[in-house]
Amino acid sequence: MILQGKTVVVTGAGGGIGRAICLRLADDGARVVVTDLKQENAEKVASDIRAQGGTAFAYKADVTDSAEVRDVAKQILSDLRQVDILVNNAGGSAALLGKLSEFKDAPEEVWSWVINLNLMGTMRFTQALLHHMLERRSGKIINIASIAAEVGIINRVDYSAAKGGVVAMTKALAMEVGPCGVTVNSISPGLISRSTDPAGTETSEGTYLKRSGSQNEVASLVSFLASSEADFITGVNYTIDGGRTLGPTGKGKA
Amino acid sequence: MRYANRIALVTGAGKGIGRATALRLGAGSAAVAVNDINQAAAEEVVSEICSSGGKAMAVPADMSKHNEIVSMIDAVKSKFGDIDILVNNAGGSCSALGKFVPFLEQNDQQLDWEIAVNLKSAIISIQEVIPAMIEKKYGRIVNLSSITGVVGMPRIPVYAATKGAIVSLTKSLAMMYGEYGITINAVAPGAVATRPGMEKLGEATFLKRACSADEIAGLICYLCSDEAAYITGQNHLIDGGRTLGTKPEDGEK
Ligand SMILES: NC(=O)c1ccc[n+]([C@@H]2O[C@H](COP(=O)([O-])OP(=O)(O)OC[C@H]3O[C@@H](n4cnc5c(N)ncnc54)[C@H](O)[C@@H]3O)[C@@H](O)[C@H]2O)c1
Ligand SMILES: NC(=O)c1ccc[n+]([C@@H]2O[C@H](COP(=O)([O-])OP(=O)(O)OC[C@H]3O[C@@H](n4cnc5c(N)ncnc54)[C@H](O)[C@@H]3O)[C@@H](O)[C@H]2O)c1
Repeated sequence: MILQGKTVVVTGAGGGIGRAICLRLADDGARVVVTDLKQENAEKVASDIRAQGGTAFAYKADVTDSAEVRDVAKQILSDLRQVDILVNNAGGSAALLGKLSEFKDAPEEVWSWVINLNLMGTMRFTQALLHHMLERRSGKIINIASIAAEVGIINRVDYSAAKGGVVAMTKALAMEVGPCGVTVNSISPGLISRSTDPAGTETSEGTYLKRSGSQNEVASLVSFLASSEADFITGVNYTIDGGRTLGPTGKGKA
Repeated sequence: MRYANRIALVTGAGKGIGRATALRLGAGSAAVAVNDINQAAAEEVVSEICSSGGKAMAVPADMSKHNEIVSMIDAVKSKFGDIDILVNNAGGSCSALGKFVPFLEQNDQQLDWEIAVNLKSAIISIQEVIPAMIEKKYGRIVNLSSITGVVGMPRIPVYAATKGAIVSLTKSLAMMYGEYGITINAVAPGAVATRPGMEKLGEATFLKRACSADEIAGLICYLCSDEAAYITGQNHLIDGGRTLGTKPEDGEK
């Protein structure tokens, strides 16, 4: 129970990876604050956690809405008194809108929406809980980026830029808040299976392990970085991609 | 138990990061082969593991010598069996030989030693353990690199170069052996206080402290666990933010 006594907030937690992170951190003993764009998604995950004997609370939080993020952060702090760990997981590409395209053809509404969701959403939620962490001189912020940050993904110029922004923001903020006892790190997943299949067995020729990763494997890395084992780790981006970004592929295909 | 039925070899495990790693693997129920050039130090770590109920053996060898590495690994295989977890930790800069030698004065023998102990030792050990890992379709290899291998370090350029080579070796081998369920990663420590008096290293970090050998061992051991199966070919910095930012210009705040 490496997170016993800790309270963690996860954004976009109704989806695949977010849900796995919540269940895992609850298993580690944390009180889990499940937030999502959709209240019912958050409720569902929170009740799955309770069914397993864990402690969870559900809140609606749209990370693209500044006022809502500010209010929900206040509400969480007033309800739970403490937040030790923030996992900025909400995100996604223009595929969510069914609007993936080459950048030359991308409407500004689409690419600014992607940047707002992935980068500004992360910055917003972070800022909303940062003062609390700084006052307590303790906190861990974990941002879910993507291998898009390092190597780019075709037809996702906006998403790649936003995730690159998340990685850079992680580093710069780590310098600012490190002396006050707060660490900031990011995780860049590669291809993660959409199914909840624990093995992540989808074959994937693009990775050197010849399979996609599982949501639980990402959750495991979050658990490690959220634990006191990672107290000395800050400002880093850990890639979990089965080797997908190693070496030149010469293919240029996502 | 995290490493039940696993057989682990940690090189240079008589003290520092290697020792802390061996102790953790032992506490997690791995059978641990403890290598060091210093036999007494290796034996002490073995008795520490055994007295808390673990299983361990001392395999002293000089990791700068090819034949010693090969017979050391043979000894592990014949007593414990094939190695599942290899931590290539033995290493150090030329000052580890007793006295610091400036770059322009490093002679052939000193260069050979530095490259052998930091780079060749890992290459040879991996050559020795990989065939059995391929057969078992399981393996965890963690190589100690260093922030010097990523950002460079004046005074010790040859050491830094060997650590950069370790990062590159890690990537290529991860590509070659991934399909057999073998993950190969590097861990790059920044400021570790392995000896009293080294705490002032911490001033150069954004967390304003140096870390302990055990904190590095925590990351190494996570990467050696079954859970870390999808992480491969990566160099994991653990440096309290020491490599962040640029060198400030005069007057820049
Ligand atoms: N799945 C992958 O292969 C993969 C790879 C790399 C990175 N990632 C990143 O991991 C994170 C989670 O991805 P996933 O695959 O679990 O996605 P998902 O689509 O399964 O889940 C995303 C969740 O975020 C919520 N969400 C969407 N917009 C939101 C908003 N404005 N405010 C709050 N919540 C919002 C959705 O309701 C959903 O529950 C994302 O940041 C994604 O970019 C995923
Ligand atoms: N301590 C740090 O700040 C730091 C930073 C970055 C990287 N590293 C790397 O981590 C690893 C361990 O470092 P440490 O600080 O724990 O070292 P250490 O000097 O505390 O211990 C090294 C151990 O290796 C043994 N050793 C030395 N030469 C050997 C040889 N030829 N064969 C077998 N054993 C030998 C020594 O006897 C000693 O027990 C090294 O690869 C080092 O380069 C350390």
